[in-house]
Amino acid sequence: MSCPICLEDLAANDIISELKPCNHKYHLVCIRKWQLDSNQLKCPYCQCKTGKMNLKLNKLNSVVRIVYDTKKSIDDCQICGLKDGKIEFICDECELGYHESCLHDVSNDLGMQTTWRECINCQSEVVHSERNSNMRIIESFKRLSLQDQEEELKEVKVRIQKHVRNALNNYYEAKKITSEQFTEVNKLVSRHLYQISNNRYDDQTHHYDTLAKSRIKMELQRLGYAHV
Amino acid sequence: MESRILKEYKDSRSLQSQYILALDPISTDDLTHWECTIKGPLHSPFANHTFKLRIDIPQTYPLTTPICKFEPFAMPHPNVNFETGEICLDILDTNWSPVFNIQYIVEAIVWLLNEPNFKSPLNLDLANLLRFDDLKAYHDLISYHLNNSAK
Repeated sequence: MSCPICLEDLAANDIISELKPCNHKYHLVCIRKWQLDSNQLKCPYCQCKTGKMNLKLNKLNSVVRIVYDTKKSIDDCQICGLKDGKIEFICDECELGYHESCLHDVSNDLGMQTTWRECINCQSEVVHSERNSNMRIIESFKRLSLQDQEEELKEVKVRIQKHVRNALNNYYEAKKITSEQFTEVNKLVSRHLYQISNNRYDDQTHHYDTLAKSRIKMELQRLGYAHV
Repeated sequence: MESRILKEYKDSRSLQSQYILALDPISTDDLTHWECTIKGPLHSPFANHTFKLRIDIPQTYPLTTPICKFEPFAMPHPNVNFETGEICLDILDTNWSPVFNIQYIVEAIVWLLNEPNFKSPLNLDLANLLRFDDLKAYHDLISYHLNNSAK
């Protein structure tokens, strides 16, 4: 299958984005470029409105769900109402945009020239920004994907540790090691296993039970904890 | 953009279409300028005539639309500027999508010959004839222009 935008194959190593609800697939790079360029979130193929996409991240062997952050458009100036794409300041609190000149005009009219950098809605300080609503989509997307990656990593660690704990339990139940020794060895062996499996859970290549057993044996001998 | 246009070029080599007689880059060294010959659809006032199109591919293709014109023909059609050959077609404007390709555009233009739209005219005379349903005058005026420029 190929990406309808660049016509290149949707290869296993690519980050593939599946739009929801229509399930049409594109390279993430391609569909992002189009969304930013056209300033719309319609599926280029079927023209349906999309609000979500699933990302296939092959590095982590997982699917990440992304919901676009389309809360508000901050394209138009709250003072003059013009939508000219030249918004220079944004209030992060209420997500409103302003022209610098308009803010100056208002503060001049009020006779408070020094306090022009204020949102007319909530009076908090406005921030200079080249950001527009599109940038916000990307930012929220970055946030989401990072968060998901962390969660993914956590899950991998839990799954690997399960094997180590299972193997260690035999020693613990036979009262060969104390609970402190259990924790210490568990830490050492699990860390070793994350490393050799490249922070991924891959039980096709690695036989975690055997690996854990032999590594535990090694560590126990090295630390002189149990006679095995 | 380059690899995409190269793929389209390869696909266009095996193109078989009733109405697209030729679809080629002007020079194979530069795939951003294309020439196309289309046949007027049957049962339209353009039947039995061929038309030349010029297609320029922008650097930002496929995110932005190619620029299509009838060239060098003075084209009598409600949605075509008679002097410049400029075409008014929704997919060449706001309804562009990067999944469309050059062949699709050409097919849409052939379709436009058969299905003119008087609501977005570039040739007011023809559009008005169509709006007031004066089909005979519409056909006659088109044939007049076509036969005139053929001579």
